Amino acid sequence: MNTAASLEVRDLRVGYGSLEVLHGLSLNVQPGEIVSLIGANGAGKSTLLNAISGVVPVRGGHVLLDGKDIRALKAPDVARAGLRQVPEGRRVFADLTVEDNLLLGGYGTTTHHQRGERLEEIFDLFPRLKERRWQPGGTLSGGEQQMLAIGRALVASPRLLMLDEPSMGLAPLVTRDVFALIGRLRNELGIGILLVEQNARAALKMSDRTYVLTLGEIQQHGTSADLLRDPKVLAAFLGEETAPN
Amino acid sequence: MSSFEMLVQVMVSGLMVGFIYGLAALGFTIVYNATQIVNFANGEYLMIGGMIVAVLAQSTLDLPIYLSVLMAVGATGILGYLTQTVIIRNTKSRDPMTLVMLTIGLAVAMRGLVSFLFGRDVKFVPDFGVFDVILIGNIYIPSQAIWVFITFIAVTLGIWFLFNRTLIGKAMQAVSLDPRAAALCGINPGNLAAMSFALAAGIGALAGAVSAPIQPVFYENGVFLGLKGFAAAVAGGFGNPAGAILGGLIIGLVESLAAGYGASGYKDAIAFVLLILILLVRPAGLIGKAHVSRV
Repeated sequence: MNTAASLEVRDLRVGYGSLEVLHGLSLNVQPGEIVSLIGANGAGKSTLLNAISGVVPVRGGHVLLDGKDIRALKAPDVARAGLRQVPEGRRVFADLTVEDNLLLGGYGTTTHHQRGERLEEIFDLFPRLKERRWQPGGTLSGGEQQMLAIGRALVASPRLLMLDEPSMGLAPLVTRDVFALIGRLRNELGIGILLVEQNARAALKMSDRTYVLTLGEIQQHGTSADLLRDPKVLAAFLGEETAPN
Repeated sequence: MSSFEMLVQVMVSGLMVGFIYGLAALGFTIVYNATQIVNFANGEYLMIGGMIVAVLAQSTLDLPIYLSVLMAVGATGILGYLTQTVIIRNTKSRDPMTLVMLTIGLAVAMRGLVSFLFGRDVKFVPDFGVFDVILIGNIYIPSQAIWVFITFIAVTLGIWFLFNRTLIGKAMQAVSLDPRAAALCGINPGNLAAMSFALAAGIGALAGAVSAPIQPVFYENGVFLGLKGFAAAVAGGFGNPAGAILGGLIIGLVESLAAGYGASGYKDAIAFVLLILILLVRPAGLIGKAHVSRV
């Protein structure tokens, strides 16, 4: 159950009312791989993650977790299947303690004993959270809240992790810590990570492959190393002049 | 009877009523926290709990009282569960305001159904017994008041334990704080909503059953029990269980003081004037939710 899983999205179509936001989008994430998804505001990045997570209904296409179609599952069941999303804005339970926030990550999928063990592992990973164990989640700094949101997703031993804008609102130094942590998670847990980022340069530097999302479609896809040298990507996302030929 | 004894006597009856209002307010709070719905059918659960005990007491079954109470709590709990799973969940609208209106309609329907099934006469239930009447000087504490007190303490401790010591209670809080984040944790808000309705209905039925010997059972009792419970929940700070209990005690005491000192005709009005005064001074209620957050 708790082995790393692959994620495959095929021809996914998502919309709100008469507006279609994603027009038949396909991507995949393999175990042990960090895949980033970059694109301008409103390109549909968060919508994609929420559609995969079952928060937003899907109109067409498939979402396969280790080959099994999970498209029809609702959000709690997607989470219980091992596909965890760390949502944009972190969304920690502000009035609940750090410990309670973490324990709730294992709701319905772990035993009391397992949660206790996982909690200690997470405190080893994030010593800051252990210090703040009894504080309400809402009193933590932005970076600590991001750690808490990631820790909450880890309690259930996820098979694949999706992170929505983990650097949002964080100071550059804190962002660096968060990205270092994401790299560590991949190495230590061997799970696939789908990373949605505004901070395109950081995302490209730390990921293996990258998809570029523009207006609900995958405009470009390749290894992150290649895209970092691509003049179009440089111009569009990294604010650099296209190199003269 | 000295004036001091008179005051204590009035406060004893006020507390007894306050315990019941507090339990009624707790039902509003539990459902509101899990669903953001103000369930105006909550007072009916108290009425139905009392009604079931009264009907069983008048029947020829001759059941022991604890069994009647257990049946009242069980049946009403199931009714609460069905309120959510059959009616609220299948309503197309997710707008809390619409759902609140729906609960008002449900309250009327329940009242009608009860009067149809069990009649429109006032029913009396004998004391549960076991305890003797307590007489301290001239102060009289009826034996049923002890049952009401025990129930109040047991439910309060139980709710405290649920919300502070169990994962399911914390999940209920998580759903009220951020339903989407809760869903991403694998928490199913629908299941918890149904559970919260069942819990509120069960607590209501228990309160209705233990108060039945003091407050004769009548099919329209849910109206005032619901209003007093709602007022208590608002006075304490809506959504706060401790506030709900405190609000209930204060409204019960003020009512009883008003009635004891010559204004019994105005006791309901005085309770609601007090509510308005509390909200003028503390708009978030006596124990308003203090929001601590750093962004």
